[in-house]
Amino acid sequence: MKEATKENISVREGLFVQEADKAYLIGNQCEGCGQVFFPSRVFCFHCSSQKMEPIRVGNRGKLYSFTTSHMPSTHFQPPYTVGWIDLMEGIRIFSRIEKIEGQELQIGMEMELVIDELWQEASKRVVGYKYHPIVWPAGH
Amino acid sequence: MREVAVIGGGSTVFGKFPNRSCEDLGKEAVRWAISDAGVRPKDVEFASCGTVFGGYCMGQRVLKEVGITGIEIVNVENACAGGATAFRESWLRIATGQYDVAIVVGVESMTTSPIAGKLIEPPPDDLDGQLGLTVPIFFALMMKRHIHEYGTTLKQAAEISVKNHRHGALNPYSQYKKELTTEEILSSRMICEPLTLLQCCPNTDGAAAVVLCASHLAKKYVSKPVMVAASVLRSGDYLYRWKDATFSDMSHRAAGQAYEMAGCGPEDLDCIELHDPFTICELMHYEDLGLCAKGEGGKLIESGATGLGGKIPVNPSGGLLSKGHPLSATGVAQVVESLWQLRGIAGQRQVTGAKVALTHAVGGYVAGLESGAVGVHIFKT
Repeated sequence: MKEATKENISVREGLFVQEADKAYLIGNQCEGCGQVFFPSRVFCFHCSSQKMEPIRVGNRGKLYSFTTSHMPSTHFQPPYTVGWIDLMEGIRIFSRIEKIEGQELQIGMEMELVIDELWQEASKRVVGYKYHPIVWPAGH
Repeated sequence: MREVAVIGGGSTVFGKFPNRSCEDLGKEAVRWAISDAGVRPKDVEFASCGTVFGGYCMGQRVLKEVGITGIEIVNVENACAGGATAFRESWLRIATGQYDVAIVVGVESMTTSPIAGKLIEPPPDDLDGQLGLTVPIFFALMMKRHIHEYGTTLKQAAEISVKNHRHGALNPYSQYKKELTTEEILSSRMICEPLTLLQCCPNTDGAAAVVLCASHLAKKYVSKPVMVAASVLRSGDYLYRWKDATFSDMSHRAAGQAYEMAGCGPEDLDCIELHDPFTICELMHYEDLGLCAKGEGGKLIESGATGLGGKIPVNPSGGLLSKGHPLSATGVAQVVESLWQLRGIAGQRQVTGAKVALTHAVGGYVAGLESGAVGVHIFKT
């Protein structure tokens, strides 16, 4: 019962969106030079254009590198796994990584975004994004 | 720009001194530097001081202990590149003709700092930091990718630590002063896979100082001045433009500018003090400083070329890994080591016939950038 009373809050507002079966990060793209940013920027750091269009990014990506930390950080107790994901939209982001039972992580793996609880605070459940390896259907 | 000479240097032993204040550490280094240079306190016209955790007016607090007051004193903070930044600040004031004699101090007491025994907390608006990114994670990610792309081995990375501890065992100013074996390094506690504890620099207290003057005055003070041939300080670029995380674009650009300024190349260097907070950093800096081709860092350490007696000894002092890393003192201590090497007084760790030395300091994890700052300096006899 106690669990159910916890309020969900986002790690930061406007960072991600969960649709029926797919999650996306919300970034923006410069209409001038095409550079993609996540999180969104008020103007293009690349060509200084003010014309920025919001776009959904990062549903899928490839694992560029990963590590498991055996040191604690502000919100996480060890061991926890993190990595850099190369998004299909051409940028690299840092994220927590959820391993899949019985599967070793490998650089180059196809990864998928999930919206999930990151940590809990006194009366709140802090929600953010993570990536996990894509599990292909049998016979794929 | 006028030519600038380094005419004196001094350093405390590096280590853990919880009962010593920053003033006390700084005073020891400064007194040695000014007596080494043969200047009187009243000859010093300008001072720059680097510290991260020392607090306000650190330079004034140290220099009042040695009779230096009433002059222009600038305190700088640039994370682990703070010492290199302070050095450049004094160099610039003399090179541009504003002053003739200046002193540089770097001082840090990590054991009494608010982060003693902890990792540095990310600011609340650092999203990646909130998501669990720490400094050792950042470098572990680079290491894993370097291994993936170039077949670099864990043994090659550990050899960096073996070498620097071998050098540090010959340095009375080093924190560890102890040789370590490959096995000890690889089997030490895991920090961030595949970085083990003995591939990470320790927490350290210490201070270092150097005295600079306009080159035409140098002979008035010392018989063997060392000339500053290049001084470069740069900040990191956006991560979205940093495509290859196995290679530091920031250090590569800064080193290129320094070589151009000094009119020399990596092949002309006799010894190097570079930023090795983690083993993988030194291995990567072999590549971005141009000591070897991209991806060849593992082979270079294996060849023995970067050890004492090799073609280009790197971190003869023991580097951050063995000598220790009192953040802002590090960049100044690198200059002190280079001064001793170029004067030929570095004792058992002397690089035979050293005439050209390079120092390289990197500082500051900044969310969204490759890094905070890099300072590269080249010195010639």
